[in-house]
Amino acid sequence: MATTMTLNPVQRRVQRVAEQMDAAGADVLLATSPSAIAYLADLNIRSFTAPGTVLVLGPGGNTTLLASEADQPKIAASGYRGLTDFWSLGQDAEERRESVLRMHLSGLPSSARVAAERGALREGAIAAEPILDAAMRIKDDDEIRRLRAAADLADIGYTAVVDRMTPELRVYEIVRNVDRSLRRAGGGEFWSPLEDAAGVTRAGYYPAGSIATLLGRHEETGVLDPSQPLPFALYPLSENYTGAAGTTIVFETPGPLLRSLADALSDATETALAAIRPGIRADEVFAIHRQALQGTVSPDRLDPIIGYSLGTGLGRPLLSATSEEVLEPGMALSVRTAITREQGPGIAFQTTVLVTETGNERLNIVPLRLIELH
Amino acid sequence: MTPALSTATPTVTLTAGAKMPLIGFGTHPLRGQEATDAILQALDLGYRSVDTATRYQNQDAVGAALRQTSIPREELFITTKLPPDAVGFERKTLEQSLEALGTDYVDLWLMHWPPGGSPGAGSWKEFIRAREEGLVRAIGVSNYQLRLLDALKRETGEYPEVAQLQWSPVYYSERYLTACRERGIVVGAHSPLRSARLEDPVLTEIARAHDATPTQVIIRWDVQHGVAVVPKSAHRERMLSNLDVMRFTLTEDEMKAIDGLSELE
Ligand SMILES: NC(=O)c1ccc[n+]([C@@H]2O[C@H](COP(=O)([O-])OP(=O)(O)OC[C@H]3O[C@@H](n4cnc5c(N)ncnc54)[C@H](OP(=O)(O)O)[C@@H]3O)[C@@H](O)[C@H]2O)c1
Repeated sequence: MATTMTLNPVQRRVQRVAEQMDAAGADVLLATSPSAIAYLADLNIRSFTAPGTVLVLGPGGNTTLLASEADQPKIAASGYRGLTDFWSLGQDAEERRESVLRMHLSGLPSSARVAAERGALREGAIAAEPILDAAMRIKDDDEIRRLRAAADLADIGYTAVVDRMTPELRVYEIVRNVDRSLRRAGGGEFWSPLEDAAGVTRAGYYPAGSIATLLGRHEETGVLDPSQPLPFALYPLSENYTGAAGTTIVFETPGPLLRSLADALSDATETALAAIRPGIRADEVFAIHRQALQGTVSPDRLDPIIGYSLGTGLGRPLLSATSEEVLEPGMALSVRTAITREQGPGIAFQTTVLVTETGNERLNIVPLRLIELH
Repeated sequence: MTPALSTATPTVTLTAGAKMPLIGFGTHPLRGQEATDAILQALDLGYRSVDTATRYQNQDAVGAALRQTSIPREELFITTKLPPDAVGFERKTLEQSLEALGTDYVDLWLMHWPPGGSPGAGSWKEFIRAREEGLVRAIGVSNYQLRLLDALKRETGEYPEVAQLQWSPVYYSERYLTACRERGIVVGAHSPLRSARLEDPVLTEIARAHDATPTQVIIRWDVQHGVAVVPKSAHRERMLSNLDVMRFTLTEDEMKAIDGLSELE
């Protein structure tokens, strides 16, 4: 179709969502998650001042962004081209938000069917998540380009952590080193897998709101303990697409138990990664991972999901015991494996892979093994 | 086409006998065809030393240039570096470097960063072994403080032959330079231009006096200090200009004035 040829990347994504809305019988979609809004409007609401932004995707692919007036300058500077409406600041901002939203919905024909994400769910609405998941499933060339750039940023963040790492560093210094080198490389924005309930792992983390994230720090002291492993991850954004990579540092030769756990997790992760190819079912990849760890570590120290669809945020859980989804070329996955330990932080590895025609391509250089810095 | 330089770049003889050109071509962050093209141009202009690293993900591109150039391998000086996350994987990483570069030895192998801020004596022993086996001609370190150089000597009996670090008039340290000289270590300068203040009036003034540019003055200053410098440029004119520094000499006063631009305490 001639029109398809002229669509820009965001219009193509909107069109994919519109097609899925048609299939689900929805006329309007209310998006509230950072991931969905980034997908539909190329806008990063993670850095917005006020919570509650809603993007209304209406018939014909038109979008209206409903946001706090506090975020008006950011939206103006973002290049967002759709319509906007703002609620004013103050004590009753929540009510005003609700009335702005209601006003927009009341303008729709009474027969209009609304799909909404959890954050904007209304009575009788269709769940928007499956619609968005289906649209986001296969990445187009522009999305793959952005994911590659985000993976490169994650790799730069990784080298910024590892090259300058010493046990004397403060946590904020690690975060600052990463921030500095990523800004130099053209990316200072971050996201977090914890934006989605499904993205939460057993490893607590600190600090929030930064590209570099140290994992398993249940009690944040601000300093490092050189006798403990240091699992960490990098979550940069590039043109609203997510990078996700991580691994685990040790400052001394690991003891036999830690070494054997880390080797087992590393091998099991590599084995699962090697299995990722078109035609394999997601639960099979998960089973391969679990199988490889059998007898080494008790399952209650492993996460129930080891791979998620990745795009403008962490998407649907893919590699789990219950996912029957068949992998296809063009899918992007964040593979994240971890072992928690009773005492202290555990071991974690994370990388981004792209399902290709023949297998998969790993987008990160981050080694998925213990990084010994001594 | 810019004419190639006729004046040869001076060299320094390292402890184990390798001859290192004092001006080399920096390759970060060039990758792929762009890197190969830039290196071929640099070689064409007269560069004989190329600085790469496992981390730069461009060793294959350097290798492609080495295959394409007609300059014999023994006239070239190739530096690569071991990333700090390769502790325990030193030999494997070196083999991967050699494979990507398409050569059976590198002229200089550096520890890119002190692993975890430690001297990295375990890796250093592997470096010494690699030199003994002829896989590398010289060994050194990068981004090491003086105390780490001494720790390596203490723990392994061997000093690095080269210590590369961020080095420019802004980062000049007489103490470091003198201590390295006393230990037979050649200082290498990375980011020589990027970490400098090119508009500093001291530099522009000296440059004017020699009908040169501030970048040329910095590179000449390095050479006169016996510091091996690796400027990077993706532009032919700049590559040539960065190499073309042997037609003038800085006076002792000028050298001192540039030393005085240091912002280190
Ligand atoms: N060991 C380490 O940890 C480490 C760290 C950093 C770098 N290095 C090595 O050192 C090399 C050099 O360092 P670097 O690349 O960071 O910085 P640099 O060589 O000091 O400066 C490179 C920058 O200066 C510009 N430039 C080059 N010649 C110029 C001239 N004559 N006039 C004006 N601008 C000029 C280049 O631009 P154009 O390219 O556009 O001309 C580029 O932007 C690297 O390539 C790498 O091989 C090692």
